[in-house]
Amino acid sequence: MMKMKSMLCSVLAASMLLGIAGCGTKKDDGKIKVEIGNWAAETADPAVIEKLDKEVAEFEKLHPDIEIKGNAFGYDTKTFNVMASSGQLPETLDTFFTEMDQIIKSGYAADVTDALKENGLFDQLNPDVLEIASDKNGRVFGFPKEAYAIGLVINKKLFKEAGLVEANGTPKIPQTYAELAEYSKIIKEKTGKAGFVLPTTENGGGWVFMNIAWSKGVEFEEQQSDGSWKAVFDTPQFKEAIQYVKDMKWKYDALPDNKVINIEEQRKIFGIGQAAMTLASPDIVNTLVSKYGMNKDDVYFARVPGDSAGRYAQMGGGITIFSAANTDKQHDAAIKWLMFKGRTPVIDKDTEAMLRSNFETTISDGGVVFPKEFFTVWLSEERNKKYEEIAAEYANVDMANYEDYAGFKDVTLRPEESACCQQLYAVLDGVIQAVITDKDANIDSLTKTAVNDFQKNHLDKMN
Amino acid sequence: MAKASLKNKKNINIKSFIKKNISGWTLILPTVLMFVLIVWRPIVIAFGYSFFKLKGFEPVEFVGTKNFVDVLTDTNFLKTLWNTVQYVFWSLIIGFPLPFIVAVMINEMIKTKGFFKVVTYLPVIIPGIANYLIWKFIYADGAGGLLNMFRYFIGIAPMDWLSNTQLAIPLIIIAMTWQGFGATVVIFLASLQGVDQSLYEAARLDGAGVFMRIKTVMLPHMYGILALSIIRQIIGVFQVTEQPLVMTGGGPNGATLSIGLTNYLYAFKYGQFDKSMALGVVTFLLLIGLTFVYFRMDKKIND
Repeated sequence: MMKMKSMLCSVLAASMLLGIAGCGTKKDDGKIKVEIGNWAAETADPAVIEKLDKEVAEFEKLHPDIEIKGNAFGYDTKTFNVMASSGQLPETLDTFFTEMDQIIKSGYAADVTDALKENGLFDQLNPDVLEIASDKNGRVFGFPKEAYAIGLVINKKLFKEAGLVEANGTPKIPQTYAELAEYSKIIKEKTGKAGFVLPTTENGGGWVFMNIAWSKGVEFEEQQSDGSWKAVFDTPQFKEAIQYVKDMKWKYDALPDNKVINIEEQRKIFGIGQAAMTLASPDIVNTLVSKYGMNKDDVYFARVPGDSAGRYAQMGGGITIFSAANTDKQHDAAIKWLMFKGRTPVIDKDTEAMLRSNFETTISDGGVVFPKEFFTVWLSEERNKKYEEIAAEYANVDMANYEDYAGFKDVTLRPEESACCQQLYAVLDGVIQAVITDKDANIDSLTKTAVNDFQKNHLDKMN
Repeated sequence: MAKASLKNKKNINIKSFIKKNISGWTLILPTVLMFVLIVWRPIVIAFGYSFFKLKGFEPVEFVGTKNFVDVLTDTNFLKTLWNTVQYVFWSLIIGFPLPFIVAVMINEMIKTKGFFKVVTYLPVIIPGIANYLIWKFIYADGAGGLLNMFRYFIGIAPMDWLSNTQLAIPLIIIAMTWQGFGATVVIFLASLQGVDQSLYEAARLDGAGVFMRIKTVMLPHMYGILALSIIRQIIGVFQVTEQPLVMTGGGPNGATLSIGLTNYLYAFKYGQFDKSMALGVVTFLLLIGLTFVYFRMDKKIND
């Protein structure tokens, strides 16, 4: 009986252990297996999944040595490193320019310089954009997807309600930040809604604030001759820029009541018509329209306003990275898949069909299609012209609402700061939060603390 | 010779000891393995890795105590430590007496005791993040927040709640207390029900009122469990992370940033796992003393 009992226990324990270990073997059929991230989730519209399956079948017919599998995992700072270190990253992931510095440092993104060259992409991509994805030796760690610059987004309906309309019916565009503050005040008085929404947390505040600060002539950091970096923003210009944010809250009453706002909440507040203006990139439009139900004809995009130093707009963009845990062959196969999906410098018949199909999907998802790319990562004019010809057939926005933005007249486009820029945003978030929650906040001492924090906690500890 | 036979005897003893309890050993093996893999292994690895420069999760260079120096000399370290102490302080002021008072009240009830036990426990079953999002909505600034709606209803102007640097930590503690106090009430109730009823009767016959009965009968009986709860609460609240993460993001201007949240930000926002592990070790060392006290008391009380 005792023996039976111990045998039973052993079997039980063994089965539990096997359960933990999780056994399984895979047959190797010699194919290059590639997992593509940001795939449609299993819960997505069945039509979308069916379309993707069809595309995979077509692609695999063209490349019988490659096997494509979808993975719904999308880039997220919270999970990326954990997934990467445990070898669970899909081969490709879409991320943003702002993340590239940290990703390259982590070593989890593959060097795809050679794969881009072998597929004829390297020389066709805008070198300025490629630089964002490169390390100091010029090696490239991603395939740029799109680029954009910040603009001023306006809710036409609220502007109309506030009487801020030109004779031709277009909204009265603030040309300077001072005008933006004045208009915000009028909007608040006439409509009761916030004139302007500024994100304040999760680094969103710092990211948007850069545009205001640069326009007032602020420089944030400077590389020294020994290669180290120095925080240099304890200046009257910076204090003026922070004073501007403070005035937006306490003098003009231009900001929403809620003071803890991340980028998603910024979009929500604007999308549901609770604020008349914000600073964002054009990719916000799809979110505003498809997620928050904003009428696409109420969205107006203008150039960023200017100030004493000019008009400055931060550049951003999307990029695909490749898992460093995989082989060069897999990177090459993944790039071939992305090219098949339309990311090529030459638009041939197949690419054209794919682009058309992509546009149709966007429209059926309730999104917007622009008749042109405001920025393109491709150098080929022929390609860009062809793209615009096709996009024009599907465009569902009134380009009159984007004319002011699209010209970038007098706008200086700036990439992000070079050293510890995410940490800089976090420090700036703190200053912004302090001045919008405390009417008596002392800007001099806040500036000193911010410069000291950024220098000692981040720039001094870069390596 | 004698030594060898002693060794032999020892071996036989161990063997027979294991053989005798083989079924027990086999049954706890998976649990022990899980513990080693999921709890102990990461703790040991974190200790080791905190002395290395990491690239992602890969140690690339031994840097000695550099990570510790980096986190301890961070200009915000003392501020976050002070914030964390404030969390603990407010949790003792707000979160500690409440479950005791509620437990005593429920214990004194003659009818509807069961109903109040269930109602008190309900917040515990709400998932943490959902709970803190609800409280974020209650505390929201402007006319959209529930508390401000109430103020508006009774004719007072809305005010700032979580944006007020003085109020933010106590408000977060109120949210934490609301969620967690039900579980402590259950523990206190169990202890209260163990009070010898004859002592109560005797006190009552001697003319002792409710407060006198609490003072002379209940508190001496509950001293051990109350002391344990305080230590448990200090250890728990010292690690406060997700509450400020969800409700304030650590703001305004770092006013609610705790050590736990700083640790989280090092790891999951900036990918600086080496610093995160060093700060984890510092927190571990700060708490290990308290944990030691906890186990000593637990043993004393159980004995």
